Amino acid sequence: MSNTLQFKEFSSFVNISFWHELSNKKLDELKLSEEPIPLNAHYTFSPSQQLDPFLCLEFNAFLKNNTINTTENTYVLPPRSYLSHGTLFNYNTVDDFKQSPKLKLFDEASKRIWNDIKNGNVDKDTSLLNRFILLTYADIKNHQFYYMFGIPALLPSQPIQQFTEQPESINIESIKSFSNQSLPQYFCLRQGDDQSSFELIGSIEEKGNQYLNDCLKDGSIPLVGFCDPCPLPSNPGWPLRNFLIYLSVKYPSLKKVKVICFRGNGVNSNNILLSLELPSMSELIEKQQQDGDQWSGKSVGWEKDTNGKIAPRFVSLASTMDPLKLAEQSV
Amino acid sequence: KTVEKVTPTLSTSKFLEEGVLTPEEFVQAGDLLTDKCQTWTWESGDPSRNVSYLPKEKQFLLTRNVPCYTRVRTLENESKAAIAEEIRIEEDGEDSWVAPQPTGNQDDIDDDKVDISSLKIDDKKPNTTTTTTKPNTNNDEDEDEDDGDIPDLDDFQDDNIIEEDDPAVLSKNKTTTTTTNNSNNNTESKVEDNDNILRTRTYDISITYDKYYQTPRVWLFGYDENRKPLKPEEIFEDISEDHAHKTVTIDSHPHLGISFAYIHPCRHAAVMKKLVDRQSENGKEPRVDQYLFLFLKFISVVIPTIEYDFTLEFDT
Repeated sequence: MSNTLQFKEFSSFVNISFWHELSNKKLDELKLSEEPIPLNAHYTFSPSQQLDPFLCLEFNAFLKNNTINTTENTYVLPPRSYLSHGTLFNYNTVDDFKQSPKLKLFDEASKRIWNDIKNGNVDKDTSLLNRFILLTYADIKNHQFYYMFGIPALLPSQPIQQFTEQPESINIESIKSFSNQSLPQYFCLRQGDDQSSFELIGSIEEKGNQYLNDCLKDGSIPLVGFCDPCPLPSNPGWPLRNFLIYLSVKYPSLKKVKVICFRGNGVNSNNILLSLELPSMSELIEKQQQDGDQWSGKSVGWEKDTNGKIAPRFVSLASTMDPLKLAEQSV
Repeated sequence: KTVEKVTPTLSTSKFLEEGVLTPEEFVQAGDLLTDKCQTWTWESGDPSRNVSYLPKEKQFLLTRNVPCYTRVRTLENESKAAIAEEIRIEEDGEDSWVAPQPTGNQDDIDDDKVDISSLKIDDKKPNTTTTTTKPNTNNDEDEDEDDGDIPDLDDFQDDNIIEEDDPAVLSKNKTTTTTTNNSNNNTESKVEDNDNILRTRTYDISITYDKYYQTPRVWLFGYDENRKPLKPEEIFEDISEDHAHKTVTIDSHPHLGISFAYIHPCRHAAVMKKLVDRQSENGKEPRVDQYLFLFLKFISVVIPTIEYDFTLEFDT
């Protein structure tokens, strides 16, 4: 019986402070420029079992990641949060926004993920697996914003299968040396003597290569983990998708892997263990090589509206930005 | 604002005498809060708005995405009574801080405050409160008035972006999921799981230090089920009606420059003083670093349905 692993998509969560910042930027800096702008977004563990996994953008999204110049403000992730690299395409008119080359932009983002996997950038920084694009049209005069999110996930030739019936739920109390502050985005673990205890080996960047090669050598199934924004008992969140692609590309002989979806140390966190069969990427890799080693496969991840359609979203902030309306509200 | 500029910063502790805080004590209390409750963090905000009497990276406290499942109106009277009993605060005097009345909430509603019909929720099971108070159509009309024309987003539909049907996506709604090719039992069960995702309001709550009142000040920013910012009148639905239009107003957040609803701090010190006194009476040593826990406990009377974290085991 096939048991296809299904991933829960991100829901974008644009903080009002982001729109304020975009308006200011548009007026003061960007003016009529439509150049792409790098953004930083974050995700964290779901605060409740009943909330969507959010990809959050806040006022500081425009700040640079690591600036050498110390006088400049740098982007600081909130605690227990993980980075997603974004690119903003802000258009000057509604028509430009409508006619923007959406497919091309989405493909470009997918290509960047693929290239970073192939050229080894991800080995040093796994956050590069998480990318998004944001298309906007900011009608600053009326405090209205149109936007679309694309959060690409590369597709393997075959969907990833689970070789167990259901994800196993695991007890968090028994994971040793897990401290919330320092838990990397993707990591590897060791199972303790007792079936239910785990120990953190290190981040994928630091220890992944050695650990996975050791596992391949002695034929054991490696155990990896990631910080999962999704709270569902049977599904992992989006950040796992490109990570699994990364593993299959980087370790072609790796056939099976166990994955801990870590959801935080809270009382209600709902950690699960997935047992997965990795698809062969060799066909895809060959195909890419013929295409000049560029990603030409498929990828998915446009944010859908409530009807499941890929359509732009709209937000009006007149009630919190319009000085006249504000005057009415304040007492 | 101007008054604030000329008010000297409080430098000696008057926590026990007046229930107020110095900036240093605010930082101390914030440190304990962020330490015990990991959902709370220190933020620096907009650097150009930094205040000199607080450390650069500890300008204000923030907790994000706090779920708020029900509107205040749907709260059961009993639970409210329980909270009210716990924190019974000054009830005399004209402008005293009003504690929620344990009974009769349904009856003495000022008609001009909120449209009651729009707030009726059938909530036998907590899970059914997902969809809001208002049907979407109403919402749109509302926004038309307030926020200008709502564009027809169908115009924006780009027929070129049709995404590959991906069996590995857990879709947001049933109809699309069931059309996937491998609609075996497995998919079925996942659809059900997906239903457990509750679309609820969430709040970002921030606490700033109010130099004039020498107390913390609480700011609320709400988002609806679709992550759209709530309008001020919608935020009032999550504030106990005794406080909604008396103690909550809108102003620009000192560190973000964005308009937020805030709970007016004019009575905070007096209430805190009472709580501190009660602690002493009960033979407990009031600790200034626990100020914010005590404070948040009493704020929860004002915003009873916003489920932020302030759990520290201690008695008043």
